[in-house]
Amino acid sequence: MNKEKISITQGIKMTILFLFGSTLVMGTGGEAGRDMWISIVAAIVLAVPLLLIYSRILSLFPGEDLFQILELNFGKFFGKLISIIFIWFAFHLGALVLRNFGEFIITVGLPETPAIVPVIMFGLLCIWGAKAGIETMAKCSDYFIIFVMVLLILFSILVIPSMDTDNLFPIMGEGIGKAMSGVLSSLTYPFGETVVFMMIFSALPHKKSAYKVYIPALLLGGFVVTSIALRNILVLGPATIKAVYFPSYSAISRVNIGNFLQRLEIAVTIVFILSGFIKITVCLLAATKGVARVLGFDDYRILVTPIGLLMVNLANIIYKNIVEMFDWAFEVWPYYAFPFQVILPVLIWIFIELKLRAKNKPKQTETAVEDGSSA
Amino acid sequence: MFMMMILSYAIASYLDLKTTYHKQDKAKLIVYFILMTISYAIGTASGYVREMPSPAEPIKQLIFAIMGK
Repeated sequence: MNKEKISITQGIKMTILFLFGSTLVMGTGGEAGRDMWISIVAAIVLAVPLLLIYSRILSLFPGEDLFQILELNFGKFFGKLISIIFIWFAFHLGALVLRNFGEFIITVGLPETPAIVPVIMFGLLCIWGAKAGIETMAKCSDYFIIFVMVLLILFSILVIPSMDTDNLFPIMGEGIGKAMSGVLSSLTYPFGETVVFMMIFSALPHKKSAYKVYIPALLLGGFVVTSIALRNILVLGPATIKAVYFPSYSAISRVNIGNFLQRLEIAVTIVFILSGFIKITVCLLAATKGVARVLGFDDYRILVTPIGLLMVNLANIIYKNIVEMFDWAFEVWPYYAFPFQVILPVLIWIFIELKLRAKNKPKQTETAVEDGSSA
Repeated sequence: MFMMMILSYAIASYLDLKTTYHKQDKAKLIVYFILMTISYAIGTASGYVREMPSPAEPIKQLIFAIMGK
């Protein structure tokens, strides 16, 4: 397979945009109500060891992606079997985000248009992006992150007059249990989703790169996600956040500077388009690379279009309506994603560590015997 | 719609293969056409069948059954 390389900074930017994905628009940790920001912070804390495990697995096999690592350690058959599980996860996640985008567009901008239209358009764009490869995506991230950050900061400043600090208090008013009820959903959406990067991070430059990408991206991206959650609570309050589908869109719609600067909410779409594009393309890239590895192809590019079109079709049929989409995203996703994001990577890590330890043990014993005899 | 779908898939495949498929590797081509056919079949079926079966519902039922909800 062609060796593509991206820098650590590009990796961080790409991961941050991936974390933003649909999270900034749909919100996360909503179960905790006004304390959702505490849930998100707790999820970031829990995500640190998880991402350290992802980094450790990648750093043990520099220059290899998850599929190669699995084949090296579990053998051809079991390696491919576990690879298929991860391919499904990346493929499914891409389809879900694609559908989120379609529902967002028809809800806020094009209510008369069938949901499949924006899904096809965006899907084709992502196919194009994935065909261009990870280096092109990384260069795109360099520019996209500037637009996204400027817009987020600008919106947050403009919406300050609409903020009400009473919406934030009492902190943990309903107990610590309620405040922590959104931790699992925040951990699995979006922080744990970065497991997808294990499938494409063979493009990182050197051994410790995965640590240098994952942890700063988690902290920076997590900080922004927490800030946006706080902003939405301050502007809308917990009751309104529960009632609306897209809290960021509703929060920005409150911007009104001197009856002149208003109706800026459609610009939220720009944030979604830029970060969603990166997220879906990364998922498509991961799924395609996985299929290519499982089938033993030397290049993944030929598979991008058929798998991308399958993703579009899955996005089209996966939910009946927006209600089912949100029900699935908040009720089912945390439990569905947990094995892919936590259980499987942890088991793989333990297996690899034990295998490496067993491999190194005879060497150590031999060295000790040699030392003893020479003495 | 049936014909329109065939036509759009044929054009997409032609353009795509023209840009991507350089080496004469038949295995890749077979996989390509199998995936394209599956994609086409799902796409066409979703146009005719009102309630297409989706993987979301069985996954939800399975998870709720495991959790005893």
